[in-house]
This record gives sequence, structure tokens and C-alpha cells, in this order.
Amino acid sequence: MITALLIIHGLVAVTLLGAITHQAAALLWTSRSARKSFVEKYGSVQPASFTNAIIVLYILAFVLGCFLYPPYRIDVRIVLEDLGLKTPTGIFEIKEHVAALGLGLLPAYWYYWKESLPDVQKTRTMLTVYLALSVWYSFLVGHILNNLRGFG
Amino acid sequence: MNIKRIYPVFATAFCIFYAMAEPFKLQLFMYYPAVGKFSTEALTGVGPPINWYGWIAFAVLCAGVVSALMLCFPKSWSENKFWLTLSWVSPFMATLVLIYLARVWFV
Repeated sequence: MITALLIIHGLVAVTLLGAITHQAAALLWTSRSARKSFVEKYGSVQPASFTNAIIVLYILAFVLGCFLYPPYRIDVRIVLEDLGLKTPTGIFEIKEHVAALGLGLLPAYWYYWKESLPDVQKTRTMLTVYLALSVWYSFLVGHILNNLRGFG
Repeated sequence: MNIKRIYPVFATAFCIFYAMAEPFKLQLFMYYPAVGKFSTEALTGVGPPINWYGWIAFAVLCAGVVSALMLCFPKSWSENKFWLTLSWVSPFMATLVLIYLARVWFV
């Protein structure tokens, strides 16, 4: 059961990673030239169209992570601590925090993307960048921890 | 009543209260995964606790209260441009604080 949840959590995280990276790229690499490179074409989508999907995927990944956390606390973290591996435990602590802060940000993220408000571009960009950094960090740390402890 | 206008207030308050939860041990409850039990008091002999759920619950509760109070004030208070900046500065600042607190794992 836990293995299945871990795989689904990973798949949701990959989808979320793609969506948030695409939205951030669309905000940061806009180009008006007629002949566009691959990167410029990648960034030439409507970033607002990703917002709802990102929120749903973030919540889904977070909830799945909440279910996976108790087995991590019992089966993984205790072993890491017994082996004196403090750094992996520390980077996972930071993952907990950025994931939780990202969750708390979602209402503001939705509000500034979906409401027609003046002068919100910088706020949209910074909220999206934070979420993108949060998702990338969480994904990489989850992957590293999984590799350290093994699968199953 | 336009409840959406307090979303940035909620997000800002959530980040501030979440960053305070760990150092001041403000978790609403603890979860003991070895026995599958929630508790508001520290238990012994039942394995390690998870405080994280309790920190999130504390931040949600406090941010909810602050947001609800903000609904009582004039609309201009929650639609102030102040929130435009604070709603994205607060998560970055909270992250820096929490990374600083996590330094014990790297020394």
C-alpha cells in the first residue's frame, strides 16, 4: 500500500513539477520576436491557464505526502538517525517546511492569478517562483531520501 | 461579502504563524505514528512524535482567525497594496528563518 502511494505521490509530483516550471518559464522568458527558439516557444504559453491545475496537483501531492510521512518517521528517519546521517534528516526537515509554506500560499497565489487586479505582476511572479522552488526542492529531496533508504 | 479579498491576508498570516510554531513549540497536537494516536501532551514509551501536522493546524487556525478579523474591518484594509508585497515576502522570510533553525542538522 505504502509503495503504491509512494509511486502515485511521485507521479503527481512530476506532473506538478512540469506545470509549475512551465508557468514560471512563461513568466520569466517572454519574447516578442517572430522567430522563436525552443526555450522561447516553451515560455510562450498563457501562464494563467496553469493556475487551477497547479493548485489541485499541489494539494493532491501534499495530502499523499501527509499519508507517507508516518512510515517515513518510523521506517526511514530512525534508521538515518541511528546511522548518524544528520544531513539527510535536515534537508527533509526543510522539505516539510517549504511544502507547508507553499500550501499556505495557495489562496494568495489563486487570488493574484485569477482576480483582475492592477499592479500584480511582480506578486504573481514571486509567488510562482516560490512555489516552483518549493516543488523542485521537495521533489529532489524526496528522491534523494528514497535513494538513501531504498525502495519498498 | 467578498471573502476572496482576505486570501492574501491568510497566506501572509499562515507563513508568519508557521515560522513561529516550531521554535516556540506551538503545535496544536502531536501524532504518534507507532501507535496511531493523536495527543495534545507528550507521551512516553510510544515512539517518536510527529509535530508537523500540529504546526500546520496551528498556522491554519491562527491565520483563519486573523483573516476572519480582517473581514470585520473596512475593505480598504485588506485590499491595501501592503498585502501585495507582504504575501510574497513572508514565505521567503519564513523559509530563511526555518533554514536557520534547521542548521543544527548540518553541524
